[in-house]
Amino acid sequence: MNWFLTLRIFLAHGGRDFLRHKTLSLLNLTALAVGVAAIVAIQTVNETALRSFRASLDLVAGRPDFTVEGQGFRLPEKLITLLRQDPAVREVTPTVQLVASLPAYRGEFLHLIGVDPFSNGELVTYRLEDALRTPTDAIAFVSEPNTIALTRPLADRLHLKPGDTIRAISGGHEANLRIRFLLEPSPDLIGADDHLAIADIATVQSSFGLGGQIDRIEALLLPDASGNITSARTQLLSRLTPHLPSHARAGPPERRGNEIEKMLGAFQLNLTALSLIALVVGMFLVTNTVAANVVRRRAELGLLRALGLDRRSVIFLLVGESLLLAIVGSTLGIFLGLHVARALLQSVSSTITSHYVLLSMRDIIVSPWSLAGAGLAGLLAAGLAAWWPAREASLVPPVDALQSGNAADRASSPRSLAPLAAVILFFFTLFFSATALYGHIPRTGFLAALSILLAAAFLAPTVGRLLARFPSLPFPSAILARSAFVRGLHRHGMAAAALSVAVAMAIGVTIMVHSFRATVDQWIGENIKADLFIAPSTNIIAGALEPLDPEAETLALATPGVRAVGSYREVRLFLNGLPAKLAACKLDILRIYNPLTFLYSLPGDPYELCLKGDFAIVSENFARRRQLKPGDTISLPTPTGLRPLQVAAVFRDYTSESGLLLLDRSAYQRLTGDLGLTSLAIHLEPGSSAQAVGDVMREKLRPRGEFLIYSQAGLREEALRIFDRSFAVTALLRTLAIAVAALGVTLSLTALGVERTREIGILRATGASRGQILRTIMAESAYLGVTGISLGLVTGFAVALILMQVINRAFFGWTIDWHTPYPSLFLIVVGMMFACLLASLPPAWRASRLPPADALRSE
Amino acid sequence: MLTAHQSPAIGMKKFILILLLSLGVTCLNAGDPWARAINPWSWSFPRDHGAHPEFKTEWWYLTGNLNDEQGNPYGYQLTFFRHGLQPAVTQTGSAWAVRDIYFSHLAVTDVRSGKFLFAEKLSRGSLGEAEVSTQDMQVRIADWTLHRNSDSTLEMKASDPTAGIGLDLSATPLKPVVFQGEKGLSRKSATPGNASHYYSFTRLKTSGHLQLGNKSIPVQGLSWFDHEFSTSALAEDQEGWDWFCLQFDSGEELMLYRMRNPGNRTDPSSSGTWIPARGPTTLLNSSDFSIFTVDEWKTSSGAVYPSGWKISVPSIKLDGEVQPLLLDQELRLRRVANLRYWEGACHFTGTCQGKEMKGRGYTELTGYASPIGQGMKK
Repeated sequence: MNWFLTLRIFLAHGGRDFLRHKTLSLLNLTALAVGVAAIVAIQTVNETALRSFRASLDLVAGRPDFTVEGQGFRLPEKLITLLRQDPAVREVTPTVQLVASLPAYRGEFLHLIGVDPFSNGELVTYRLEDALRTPTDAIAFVSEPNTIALTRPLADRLHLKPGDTIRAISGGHEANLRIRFLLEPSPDLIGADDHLAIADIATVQSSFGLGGQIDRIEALLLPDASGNITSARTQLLSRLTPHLPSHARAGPPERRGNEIEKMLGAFQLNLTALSLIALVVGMFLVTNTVAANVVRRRAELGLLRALGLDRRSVIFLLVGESLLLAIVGSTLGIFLGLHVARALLQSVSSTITSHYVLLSMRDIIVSPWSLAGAGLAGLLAAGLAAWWPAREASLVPPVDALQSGNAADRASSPRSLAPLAAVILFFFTLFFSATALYGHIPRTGFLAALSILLAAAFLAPTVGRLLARFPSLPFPSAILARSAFVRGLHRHGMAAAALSVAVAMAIGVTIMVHSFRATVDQWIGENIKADLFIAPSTNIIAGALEPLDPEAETLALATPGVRAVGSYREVRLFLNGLPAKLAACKLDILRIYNPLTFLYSLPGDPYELCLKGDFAIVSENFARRRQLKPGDTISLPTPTGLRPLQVAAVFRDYTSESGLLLLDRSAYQRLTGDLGLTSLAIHLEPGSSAQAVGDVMREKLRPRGEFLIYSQAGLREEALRIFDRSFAVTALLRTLAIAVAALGVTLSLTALGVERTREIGILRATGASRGQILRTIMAESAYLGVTGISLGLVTGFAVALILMQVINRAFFGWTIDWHTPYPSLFLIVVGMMFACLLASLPPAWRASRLPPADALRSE
Repeated sequence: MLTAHQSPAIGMKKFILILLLSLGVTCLNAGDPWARAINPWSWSFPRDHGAHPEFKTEWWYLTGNLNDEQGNPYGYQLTFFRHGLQPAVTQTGSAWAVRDIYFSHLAVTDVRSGKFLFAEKLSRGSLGEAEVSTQDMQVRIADWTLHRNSDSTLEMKASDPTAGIGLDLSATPLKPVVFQGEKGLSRKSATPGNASHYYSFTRLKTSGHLQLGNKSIPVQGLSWFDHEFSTSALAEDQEGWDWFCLQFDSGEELMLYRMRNPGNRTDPSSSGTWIPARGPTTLLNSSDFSIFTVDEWKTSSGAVYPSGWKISVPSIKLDGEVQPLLLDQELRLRRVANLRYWEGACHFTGTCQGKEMKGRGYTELTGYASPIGQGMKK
């Protein structure tokens, strides 16, 4: 067979079919487009997050061969001399960085980096603009106090220009920074955080009281004798390690990036998995359509076969048609996805900042590769979905195909195997859950979720048939609908499967999010006892990076009505290769005013232990991810050396995704030398008003910068706001999947309407009214809906269980108490049912409008 | 003053160039915190071998022609610069506050294989990365050092593994200090203060090792040493200079420099010094000598350097030709932005008082490929 001819036949036949069934094709297209859009949106947001993160890292650090970085605490600058003297080091340059709030610009901050322009020449990736105009500016950069370079976007946003001065505050130090340069990142650094500002290291150290301290050291190395950088690095590391403070982490620069990317990876995997479900649902729909297509065009295909078209060409024809549709659908999906990505950006950016690492994304970064990937996924899904029915069509002998008859009755599918597949998939679910939980392969948790969803999909026809066993309501439409539904299960099975997958996912995610939120809310209610909370305002946008003015504590203690002030300090670090938060508070205050909920503890009073010796209290997720129990020892790297700490107790905590290691403040300060504060918790005298004391504090703190002062209720609100924002994307994906499933119902009924033209004609000819036809088809849709939704509801609980007990435990280790959100579930069920009926309206309407004569002509 | 290949946006590397360009950005007005070379210095050694931080710019300059055991010729240059940014640091509480910046250039010419290799260092001097003594010649940037021993020998060490060059040399002065210009006050333009304090060791017996690739080559020969400090040297419109130091086999030395005004005109402040084998030196004014370019060399970047000169000093009846040992001895420095100048080993053939005369030396050509000269302007 000539391929060119096949192509012509393909175009002629496919085109004709498309035109004849516009609605069907458009629905199909939309379903695919939404599926692809979900992937594009998530991939683009993820990509933007990663690129922004890397670009910001590059902008600050360039691309060195070797880095040394302080974990949680800064490094002593004298380490630089150690590297300078090493024979393997070619260049070495320090950076010091901090986050400073800008009181004059609400909600804005600077991520200020102190650099040494003399030694970073080969490492920097930014350019200083306008410097040639006045050479004195250049000298000022290194010699004048408080001279900085701002990014152009930030300068534009704040209406600042070179020569202007901005007031910046960090950790109780205040500086009037003079803008001398605008920072132009090189083109490969697009997406870097525009809050970055560059100044000479001497400027940053002297303006913010950081003399002697640096955050990072970057070095370029000389290759060793064999020309190898990697081994030169290894040798350098072994020479250096004995001299490094224990909290210093040295090695290839990718390391830090990799660790943070790994951290983001879990978060992003979550979103990616969810976005894939939208495509899987879309796939069901395509299979359904193509199968319907095959049946409908049975005679046509038979004719083509009789005329000499071979089997492979039939597959080519049908898969090709589907692919053509997929090309249009994917293209639409890509555009749609980019819009969605833009809408999601802010929420994802804030979520990453509050949980992982300071990130500020302003616009999406579109990677042609991920677009191509999503488009390809769409094509692949469409091709794969079309292949099975196409193959089946190719196997029908031409003679059979040419025989006239009710096309739909001839449709066949290996239904009998479906329940078996469901059982096998159920075992897969158990297996993958086990590997995720006990085999330490967290990612298989997603496979478990996928398996249970697919199991539900395979069960859909069986459930439909079971449902049809029940006697129907004693109305003619209902009786007709029941029999039509059973006969249409070859079509409805797929739609019900898609529906059940979407509903299961929606219900699973809803239960999980609701339970999580309720657990957190309850925990806040029981565990957050202070009346007022004070933190630097940047914490809310930049994570807890800017230290609190230590003076705030003194001011709080001196305020009338204040009974006790609990201080809180938190730093982010890596412990045993896992991210964690090291926290310190005054445990003697905490135990009285805000006792923790201990899950397990050593015999004796854990507070007493921590106050007296080298003990720590760890959060539940910290303990779970490191398999720790009370009595176990952890080594804490501190600027004063590696300090062994014994776990005194494990407590329940929801403030940190990465887990919390809590010390008494005095022990923390003794071990780390860090006197900084992150926030204050104020407990009031009985009878004093939180509002009044808050106002007094606000007034006292006003000259010292911008602060957030929360009441207990305000903090709860804020915490839940952060929580909701973190799950905003999840909610959107859930909606997308439901939308695709609703489309599926319409699609399925439309296809059936086309198949059943003759049947409808007979009904009409034998006296059925238009209303009866309409009702019959809507009732059939109700059968479909009940099948998909009931199956989805049950599966949804299983999905919720997997999300909470497998995926959450494997990745995060929270305890989530089960809370069933009955109203939400009710809404989903009723809403989906309503959607099914609504989706059946257009095809039902069309069928009821069909003139009986026309309908019978197809006989 | 940007050349065509520089983009208008400024990178940190270029930023350093700006620093250098601003070397002379101060005026003679009242309250100028930097000292100026207006009157001859009252010299006192060994103190004056050390740094003079009250002046903005200072350098210690060593060049030399050496031979290995087989007689193959080599040239070397090792220069240390100090440049003051501010008379006193204004930033407190940081060890990184900069008063002076330091940079250094190292170059080796391997005449036989036709190779010219160079390297550089740049430092803000923090945490002991660079040091200069104000008591004697003790200069260091990282591990590049220049020290004067108690026996007056200059010990120098510098190496750059990336460039594949290094040196470890001792140079012993064979003649006493020579003061250039008027008692060491070397004028660069008509404006008072556009001058430097400048002395030399014009003949140092040199021995040690040159590092080329993996090879350490024992060498010996003669070096020339200059120590110069100033606050502003060039006038606004001066383009650069051509500088020659020649060491004749018969025991004399000659130093000449020609400050170039626009249109390649020689500034009348250009001068030189004739150092006889024994006895007092002779100051040469611009009218006492002439330098004619006989050939040119074009760099791959398109800059054109003079290459080969006819030199004539009628007052001492010296005539001859200076030829570079290698055409390409241009330092193309990246760390100090697009700083480019030609500093190369040369040889001299000619006559003096009717007698055949041969010698070797070094030539420095600035302001041809990058505006180095501007850095020295007022």
